[in-house]
Order: sequence, then C-alpha cells, then structure tokens
Amino acid sequence: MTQNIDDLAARPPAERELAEARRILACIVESSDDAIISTTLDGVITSWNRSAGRIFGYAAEEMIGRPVSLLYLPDHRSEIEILERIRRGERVDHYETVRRHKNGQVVFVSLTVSPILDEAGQVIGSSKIARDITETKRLREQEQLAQAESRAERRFRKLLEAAPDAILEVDADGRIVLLNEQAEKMFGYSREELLGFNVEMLVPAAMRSGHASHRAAYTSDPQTRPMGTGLELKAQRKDRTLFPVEISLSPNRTEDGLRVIALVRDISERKQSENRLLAVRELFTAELAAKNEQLESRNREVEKANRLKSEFLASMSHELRTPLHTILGFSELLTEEVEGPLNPKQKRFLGHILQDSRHLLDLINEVLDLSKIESGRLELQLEPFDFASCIEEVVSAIRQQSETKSIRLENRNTFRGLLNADRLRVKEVLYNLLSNAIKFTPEEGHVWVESLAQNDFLQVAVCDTGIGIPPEEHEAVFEKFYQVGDTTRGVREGTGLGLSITKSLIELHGGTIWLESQPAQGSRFSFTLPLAKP
Amino acid sequence: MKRILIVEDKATSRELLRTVLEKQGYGVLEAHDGKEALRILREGVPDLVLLDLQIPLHNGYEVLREIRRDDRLAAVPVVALTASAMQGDREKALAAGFTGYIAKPVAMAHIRDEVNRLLAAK
Repeated sequence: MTQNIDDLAARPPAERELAEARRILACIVESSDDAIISTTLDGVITSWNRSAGRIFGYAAEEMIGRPVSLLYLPDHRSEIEILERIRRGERVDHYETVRRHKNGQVVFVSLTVSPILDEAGQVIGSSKIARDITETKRLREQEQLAQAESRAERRFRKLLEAAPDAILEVDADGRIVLLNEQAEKMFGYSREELLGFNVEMLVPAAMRSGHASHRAAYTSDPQTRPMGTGLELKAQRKDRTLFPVEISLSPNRTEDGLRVIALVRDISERKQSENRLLAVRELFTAELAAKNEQLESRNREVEKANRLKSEFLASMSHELRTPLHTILGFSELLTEEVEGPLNPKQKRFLGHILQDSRHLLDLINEVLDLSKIESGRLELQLEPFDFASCIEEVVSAIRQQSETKSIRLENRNTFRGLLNADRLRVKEVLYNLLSNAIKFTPEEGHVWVESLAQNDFLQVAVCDTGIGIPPEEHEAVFEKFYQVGDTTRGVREGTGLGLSITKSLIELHGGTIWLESQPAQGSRFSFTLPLAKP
Repeated sequence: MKRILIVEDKATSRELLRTVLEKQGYGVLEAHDGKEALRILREGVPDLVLLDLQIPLHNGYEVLREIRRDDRLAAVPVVALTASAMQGDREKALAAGFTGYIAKPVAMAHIRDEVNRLLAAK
C-alpha cells in the first residue's frame, strides 16, 4: 500500500508523519530476505512482500485476497493446527515445513507465525515469516551423509584391521588397492610396498604365470568361492619363504570397476598338525600291519602244529591197529578151535586175550576219533533214520554185559519217528552211555533208556541206579581224560575219552548233553538230537 | 577149487589169512608186494585178490590199475585191505575200481563172509 510521494508534500504534518512511518515499515518489510505474509483468520492473504514473491514465485497481485492454502502441498494437514494456535493467541516459532512454489517445486521453509491483535487485544489475523531453508536443509543433509559415510568408513577400517586373516582387494589388472594390517604381517611387507603393486608378487615364483590366467578366468565369471579347492595353495613372503594358505574370493563391483576381495588364511600351523597326525597314523598303521603279520605267521605255525599233530595221531592209530589185526585174528581162530580143541582153562585165557585186544582196539579208535574231532575233520553222515530200531540194536548188543552183572536193562523208548543224524555215531553215543551205566551200577541194579519228543528235538535219557556222580564233578565228567575218581572205589577203565567224544558228537549235531546225578542215587545222562523234518 | 591171491607184506598177516581161507576150502597164493603179485598174475588168473593197501613203497591203486589193464584180469574181484579208517577212504577205493573194501583189524568171520559172498557170485 503505497501512496504517491508527490502527494505527501500537500498533506498536513500529522498525516505526513504517519505516511512516513508507514513507508519506513513498508521498506523494512520489503527489505527482508524472508517471506513476510499476513493473512486473515480464515487464511486469506492480506499482505505479500517481495521475498514472498521470490520464494514462492507469485507476485503480490496474484496472492493478495487469495487463500494462503494455495502454497500448501496437497495433503498437508498441520497447517490447520497452526491457525488454531494463532486463534488462541499463541505463537509458532521456527516450524519447519514444506510449501509449493508456483512452478510446482517443493520449498522447504522455517515458519514463524504470530497473531495480529487489534486495539482490544483480539486476534484478527496472522503474520507469517517464512525463511527458505531448502538450501540449508540440503547442505545439512549432505553433511550428515558425509558424517555417516565417514563413520562407516572408520568402522569398516576397524573391521578390516581387526580381521585375523589377511584381506586384500585387487583391481582388474591385478593391482593391490586395499589391504589390512594382517596382510602386512603375514607377507612381511609394509603397506607402501604392497599398495599399487601387482598381487602376483605374493604368489610363489613358479606359480605366477598360472595365477595370472586364473585371475583372468575369475574376472570373467566372478563368484564368491574358495580358491582352488583341494589344491595345495602356497604364498610367498617378502623373505622368499613359502607358506601354505587357504584363500577365498569375492567379487566387489565398485564405481571404479570390478574388484576382487581375497581373504587369505595362513594354515602353516594347521598343516603341521595335519602332517604330524598323518605321520602318527602311518606309524600306527605300519605297526598294526607288522603285528598282524606276526599274528598271522603265528597262526600259521599253530595250524601247522595242529595239523602235524593230527596227522601223527592218525598215522599212529593206523600203525597201532595193524598188529591188532593179527592178534585178534589168531585169537579168534584159536577160540574157534580151528586147529584143535582147547581145554576150559585155555579157552578162558584166550577169552581174556580177545577181550583185552578188543578193548585195546576200542581205545585206539577213540583216540583216532578224538584227533579227528579236534582237527575238525570229523564229518557227520546225516540221514533220516528210524530211532527205535537203532536203539534196539544197541540195547541188544549190550545186553550181554548187563546180564553178566544181573542188571535189569530196559528199553523204554516209545518214539517211533525219524531222527536226522549220523546213525553210526548215534549208536556210538548210546553204546558209550549204556556201557558206562552198566559199568558204574552194582549187581542187581537197573539201567534203562527213555525218550521224549520236544519241538524239533528228541530228548533221550540213559538212567541207572548206580553209584552216582557228585554235583561238583558234573561238568568235569565230559572233559577229556576225566575219570570218575576216588569216589568210585577204583572202577577205572578206558581212556576217559568216551564221554568227551560223546559230548562232541552230540554237539556236532547241534544238540546238548547234560547230567543229573547225586552220589549213591544213580545217574541220568540226557541228550538231544534233531528230529527229521517231515 | 577156487584160488585166492593174497597180497600182504607182513608174514603173520599172510599166515592168518591163509589159515582162515584154507579152512574154508580155498587155494591160497601169496605175494609180499605188488611186483610179485603182478608176476604171479601173469602166470595165472585167480578167482579173487585180497590186496593190502599199506605195503611200503607200493601204491595199491597203481597195482589195481595194472591189474585192470590186463584183459584177462579185468573181471577178477579185487578187495582192498587197509588199516586206514579215514573218512572217504572207502568211497575212494570203490570209486577207483576195487570190488570191496575191508578195514583192518577185522573179525575173521567178516573176511570169511565177504570172500564167500564175492566168490559165490561168480
């Protein structure tokens, strides 16, 4: 609101002072670098200074009488709150917000809004001073960014230097552009000796040419991966010594091109431990092999000794049987009185000779059997056969022995089925047990055999009313050369091999044999044999 | 009269066999080893041969082969006598072509029976 200056001279002095005061105020307002805008309580613009025009792009004529909301951004709500506070008579200081320039650009402003009061003190409008802080803001943000970057940089540096492994960054030409302290220590160079130099200086001389081509290959297809998996990688120190390393690579795409970050770990110690372990293991393996060799040769010796022993026994028994052949033969001939009659005494003497010769033959056969069993060469001729007839044969064969001692011999077997076993050996077992029973039962005693079929086995028992065997000897009776001793008052016969052979024969069939007995209460020898499968 | 050739190195054993066989009414020829046996066999064919396998330096199986090679002797029963009692010996002998197998020592009755049986079959 300006008046023509020429008119001023014509006015009365009081009016001239007022006009002058107004003009000064107007100059001050116009001189401000900040936008100064006044509005009504409803937000209609009542004054607009030159800086407002500069900052917001509108001329005074365009804005006076228009709503100040023209400057707002489409969804700005907080302005309403400011007006509310003004209405209440409050002031808003340095409120940072955004406005819109006439050309649509965003302007950042710092607002100071005060109420305009009339003489009565009522709020009749608002006065806004807006400082354009766009530039300031931008600078401030830049500075913050720079600070953050520099902080990040410092942290990165710290991490880099704190890493226990050497970290190197290499550019596309193979020059080292970044390294950490560990790299200096590991390779023995100072930073200056490494930065800008080709990374191949750290590769053992012999591998250098290969390395360069590997680098090229990597650059063409860079992936995060360990280098040369499974290869024995080596690096070279400043003093030309080599040391084993593990290296992993990562590509790093920067504005300056493709960089490769290499993590290098010195595995000298680990290699040493590995080598020590390997050495120990080899030593151990060698010792083990030597021990095994020893064991095997000893085994062979033992086997050889066993074999020789068995062969010896076998040939000895043949040798022993041969003379018996003639002893028995001639004795039998004599007994048959082929060359003339014999008197009773002669017959009896011959009887003794025959009996003991047969006995001798039995013993030799037992020894032979034993040697066969021991050397594992006893083969069973398994076949299904009728058990009842087998047992009947044995009982008949042994009946004479029982009759000599007036012992009642009974066959209580009721099993009519088939066994799957070596018939000859089963007869041997029965014969052995029955003759033992008769041997160890006093005159007028009782010996019987009975059986019971159970699942897949036939359980057979040979029982007697004889002298019995004390419990502490029940296991020992089945051992080789064991003879029921002093308790039997000198009833010693045989080699003591019979029961041991019997046990072996039963067990070869997959059966078991055991004894129940008490002194003076008789004995019960039980064994099992497999039934023939139907 | 049927004739039996005994091939046995021990004199006592020969005497034993001879006594038993002569009592049975057989004629007995004696040889103390394979060589003598073959000599006797060249001079005449017996009705039965009892061949001891345990004569030293004498392989009973070879003697048997020699005997079988001779056409005249191919049908003569040859019984192996042995004190060996190893498993499989019997089968081995029979497989080699022996007509019978007797393990020593043997009851005279058994020899008698076996010889009678083999000669009766002829």
